[in-house]
Amino acid sequence: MQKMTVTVDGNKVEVPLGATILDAANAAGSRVPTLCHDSKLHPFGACRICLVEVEGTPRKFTPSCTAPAMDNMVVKTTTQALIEARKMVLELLLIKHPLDCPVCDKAGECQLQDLVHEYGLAPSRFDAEKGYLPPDLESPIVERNISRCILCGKCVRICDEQNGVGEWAFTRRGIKTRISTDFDRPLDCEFCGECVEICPVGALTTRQFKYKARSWNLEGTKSVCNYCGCGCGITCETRAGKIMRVGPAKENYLCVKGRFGWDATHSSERLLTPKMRVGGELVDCTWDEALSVVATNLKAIKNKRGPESIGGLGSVRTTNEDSYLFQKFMRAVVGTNNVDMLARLKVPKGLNAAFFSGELNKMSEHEVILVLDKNVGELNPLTGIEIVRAAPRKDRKVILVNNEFNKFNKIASVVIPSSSDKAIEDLVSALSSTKGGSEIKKAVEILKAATSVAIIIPARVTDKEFVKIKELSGQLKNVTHYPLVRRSNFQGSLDMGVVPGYYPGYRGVDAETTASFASAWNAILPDTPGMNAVEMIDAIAPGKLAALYIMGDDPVGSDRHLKEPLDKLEFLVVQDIFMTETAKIADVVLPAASSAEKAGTFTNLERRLQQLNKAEEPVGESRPDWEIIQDLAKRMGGSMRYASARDILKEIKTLVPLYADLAIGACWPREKSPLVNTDVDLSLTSDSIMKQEVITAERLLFSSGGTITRSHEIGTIRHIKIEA
Amino acid sequence: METTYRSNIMICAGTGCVANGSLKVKNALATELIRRNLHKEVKLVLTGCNGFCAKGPVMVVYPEDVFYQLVKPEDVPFLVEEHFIKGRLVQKFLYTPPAEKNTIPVMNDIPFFKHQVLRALRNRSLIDAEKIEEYIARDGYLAAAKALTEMTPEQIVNEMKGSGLRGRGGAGFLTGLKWELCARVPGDIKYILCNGDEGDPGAFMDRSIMEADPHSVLEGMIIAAKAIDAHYGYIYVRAEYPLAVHRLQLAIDQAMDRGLLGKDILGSGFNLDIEIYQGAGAFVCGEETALMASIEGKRGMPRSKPPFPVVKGLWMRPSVLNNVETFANVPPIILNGAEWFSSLGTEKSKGTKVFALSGALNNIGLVEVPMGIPLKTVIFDIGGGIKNNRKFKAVQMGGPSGGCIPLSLIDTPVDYENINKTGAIMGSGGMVVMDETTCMPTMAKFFLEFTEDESCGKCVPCRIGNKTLLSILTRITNGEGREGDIELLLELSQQIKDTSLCGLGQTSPNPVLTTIKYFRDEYEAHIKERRCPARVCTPLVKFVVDQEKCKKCGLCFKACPAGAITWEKKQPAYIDPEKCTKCKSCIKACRFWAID
Repeated sequence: MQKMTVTVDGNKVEVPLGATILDAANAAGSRVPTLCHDSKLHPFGACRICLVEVEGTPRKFTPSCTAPAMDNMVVKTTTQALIEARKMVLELLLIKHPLDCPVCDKAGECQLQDLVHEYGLAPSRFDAEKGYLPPDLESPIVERNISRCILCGKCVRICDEQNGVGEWAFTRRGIKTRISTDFDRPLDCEFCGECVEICPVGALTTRQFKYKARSWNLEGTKSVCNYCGCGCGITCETRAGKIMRVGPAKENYLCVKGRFGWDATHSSERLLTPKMRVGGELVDCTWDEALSVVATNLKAIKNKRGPESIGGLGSVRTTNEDSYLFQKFMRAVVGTNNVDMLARLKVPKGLNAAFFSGELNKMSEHEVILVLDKNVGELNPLTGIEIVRAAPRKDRKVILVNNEFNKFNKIASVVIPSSSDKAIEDLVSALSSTKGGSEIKKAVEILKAATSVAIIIPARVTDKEFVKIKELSGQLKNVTHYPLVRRSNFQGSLDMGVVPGYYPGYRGVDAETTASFASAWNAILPDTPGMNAVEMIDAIAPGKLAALYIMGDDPVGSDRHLKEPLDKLEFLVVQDIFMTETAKIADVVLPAASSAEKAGTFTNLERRLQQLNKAEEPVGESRPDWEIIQDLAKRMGGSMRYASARDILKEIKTLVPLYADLAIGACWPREKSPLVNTDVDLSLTSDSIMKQEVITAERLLFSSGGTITRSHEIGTIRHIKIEA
Repeated sequence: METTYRSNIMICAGTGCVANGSLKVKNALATELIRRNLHKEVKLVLTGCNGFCAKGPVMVVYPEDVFYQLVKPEDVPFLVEEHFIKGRLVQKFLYTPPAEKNTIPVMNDIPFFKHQVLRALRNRSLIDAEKIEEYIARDGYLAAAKALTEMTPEQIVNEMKGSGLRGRGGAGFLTGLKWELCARVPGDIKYILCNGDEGDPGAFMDRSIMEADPHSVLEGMIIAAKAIDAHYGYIYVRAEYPLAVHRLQLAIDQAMDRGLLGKDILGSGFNLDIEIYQGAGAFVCGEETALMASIEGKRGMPRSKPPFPVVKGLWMRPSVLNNVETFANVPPIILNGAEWFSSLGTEKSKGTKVFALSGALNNIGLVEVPMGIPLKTVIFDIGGGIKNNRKFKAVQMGGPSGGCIPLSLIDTPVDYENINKTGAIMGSGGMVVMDETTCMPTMAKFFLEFTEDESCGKCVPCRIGNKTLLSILTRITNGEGREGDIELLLELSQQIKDTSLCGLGQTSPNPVLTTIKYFRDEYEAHIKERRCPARVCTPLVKFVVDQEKCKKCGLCFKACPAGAITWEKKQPAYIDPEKCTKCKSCIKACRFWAID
């Protein structure tokens, strides 16, 4: 790439063609202040604080954020004239900007405050004209203080350029200009809060954080969002050991669930103590009592009916360590391969073998993005954002299959107005012939010409569609698949072997593998494959399955018809963070710690290993899942001695080749999976269980199962979004 | 064969004359000519703006070239009888220069017209704007034909560069150079754009050209399109100019019908479609990037340059945007050559410039003069001097973005360089002339009110800076000025100019800067002496009769609507402060500046 040499404050730096003066200044280590600039956004040039002096230009100052750097340019960033000009800009801003910093939640991280402090502004020479406008108190989630707005336009731009929503806009002119919604109505958007995050002042703040803490008292803990398969990095900001706010990790994005849904962890519905059934009632008890009851009952059933009569349903939201230990417990301690996840009923086919996901941040490198699921923005918001980021910014073509209208229609080059299954069929047949409507023809023309294609795989795919998508992919060049995965650690739990037929790392249950795991775990392992989740449920009525240990799942909440079979169990243990519908019918309920309250790892849909850190202490007597399992194992004669989740990960790394050299933040390569290029499909289908989606399309963005319904903040939106 | 007439009456149907009733005069004439059975001998033609708006409705009778002014419908029978039947000039409607007695019957003998050189306005009072045949008869579309069939884009660009024509929208960028830059940018889609968003208060030259000679704009655009290889064009016209929109659309339709626009123009294989886009009247949409945003359907907000529009303009495609007057200048250059054009004007400012004269002049209207003509000639010879025998104080050039030029600089030659030296700008060519009854801080405040309101609000210096300038000016004119306000105005003005994003903010403090530069004493009088020398700022006027200056004429007594003035013959007047409503009628009436 062509390089240019720019001299900034006497330092020579090389920058690539297309870099701005600001880029060059940053490269040279010269700090140029900005207010309206953000690397996520197109240059705007509104605040005029980033002015610099460029030798040989007709104008005195040049805005560094918009002006391209040129070869041999000589730039000065801190002359007396520039300081005077920047001071004047700040002085002008302070004419309007209220100095209510003591009650402003942005104080301490307000860019205007910092700059005024840095430039040491003397009392203003101008009369203040604060022009107070009442704050917008009607919108949920976001509180808008128009008086504090400095009109940098970042909210307008991020909502449009990154989110594709366009909720905000400039209205009116001159001094009356303001940022507003259509006709100043309350916000009715995706409520991702990106505008709040990017606001350099306190014009946009959240209700959740209002008067909660001063920013300088917060401590940050890096962790991972627990709501969908994207696994966005988050920073939990705590004060006195309590989370006050959650923000994205650097350069990332968070959706409404990731940013505001964490408060479910503080929900009053959290399980605080273990419970056991005494005379038909669930009553609080001690850990000792609860675990003794579980151990005694499981042992008794195992002795009486054999280990195959006990089953375990694992979770798609627990950490890799929890999932690993859960299946190890079932296999090595209970002695059965009856271990599975009900969520396998709700994932796209072939996720594990045919449709390995590409890396999300590389989606924009594809020439064409074929979106086969119109709800992509709701199911995996980050995937949706990557589509929007790719289209207008990098001039990528988007082919959208959508029989309704949503935000992707605006950025799509072609919209195929039919259902996904029909569109897939039409595309495949149009690729080999000249049949099809005008949209299909146009789409096929683009697809054929493309040197690389990203395909967004629908969240649910039938056998027929599965074949067609594979056929379609086969006819295109350089295809990367992006399956939609709704559960946060589905990939990780699969990797950890929470499936009856596979040990961790997709190593099939056969004699050789069993022997190797048996020696590694120092246990006698069952040599027969276990029942899958559907088979387990079906085995309850005939009495083949007597006990069920459910960790982090709520089958009854997902399908109330499951209450009937589960009621017939001799013994039901539920380990969860809430008193779920399933927990209500359990014999013993074990309170688990939430994802914010424990350390561990997730593996997101990209197969990226991610680190969770403990941001706050587990509420009440709740404990991390792995600790509970380890305690229980001890009581049942198993030998588990892990001091921390890290110990478990160490063991995983020795036993699972996929994870052996996998660093935190890296993705395990698809070629290494034993299942690659096979026809194995780890998704499940059933004619009877979980036929109905509890969560309907219009609620997807604001829902993701049981946890989010306990979020107070999300509840305030659900009010307008769903009940309206 | 068409009827030949012995005489033609060219009635001005520009907006000014129409407002003064020229269409009624035309109807009356038509009726009268039929009644007198002259309708086959005398032809009536509605033309575009004649320029001498002060005397509207105006008409010119050919072949004698007689100029009739201030004609009312009821005067028509008399005029027809005298002129067309008896063959006598009608003295009553002839022009008399101010302070003279003898009338001047022939149009080009009148000083207002005598000093003018018509190039952009070459068809003024000669053609019916709604008839393409009349434009073609005056060599219309000949230049386009030449450019399309005989010239290469390089030749066109060279001709334009050689002519030295500079953008008439205000900034004065070399037109040929702009075309060359755009022609060099690779790209399969380019746009040719015409800026008809004339927003300056006191400027109406573009409107006049669009109304009077719309084909000259289209022809200029065709030539430019050929030069840069554009096949689509927009004319951005403010919706407040309905007549301009109507006539441009008519012109486009007629040109399309005759194969002068659209596909394969004149069989040359060159295609060009032109569409009118109506702006909603935001001043900032005259700024090129805001104008393009507006056409794209976005909020009319400027963006930073570079990239310049010639590289990334409308819809991020290479685009050339020129002003209406610039395009109107193009066809004669192509037809007559660069040398012909550059023979007029100064070293760096070639050709002619159209100015809109308004304010305290006797002859307000539209004039086209060679570059380099002294300002004095424009104001005193063409403009006929100051109305009501008052004194010239200053002329505001360039509208709200411009500045004022005082009497001491009245000999300044009118060209880009010399006008810029005074602190004013050529701008699009508005000249607002002020006499001694104008208060300069108030004048600056007036323009700041305009720019403050028209700022798009994007960048801080323009949005808040202009409002702050206005606040300071307001307190000065309210008699609440503070020590140091002048310095504060100067510093803030300079910062706004240096730091604003677009041309609006970069020029908006010019009225403040120039009024302080040339009339600092007036600001000081307001702030230090709490006195408004022009007696405009009501809070600073005492409403007391100066006994020494009072000539005891009683005019103030007669003018006072509140009965607050007592006066008897040979006695100085007295104003009763209890009854005075501070309406300033007495100040306007007094000829001796005797009321403070």
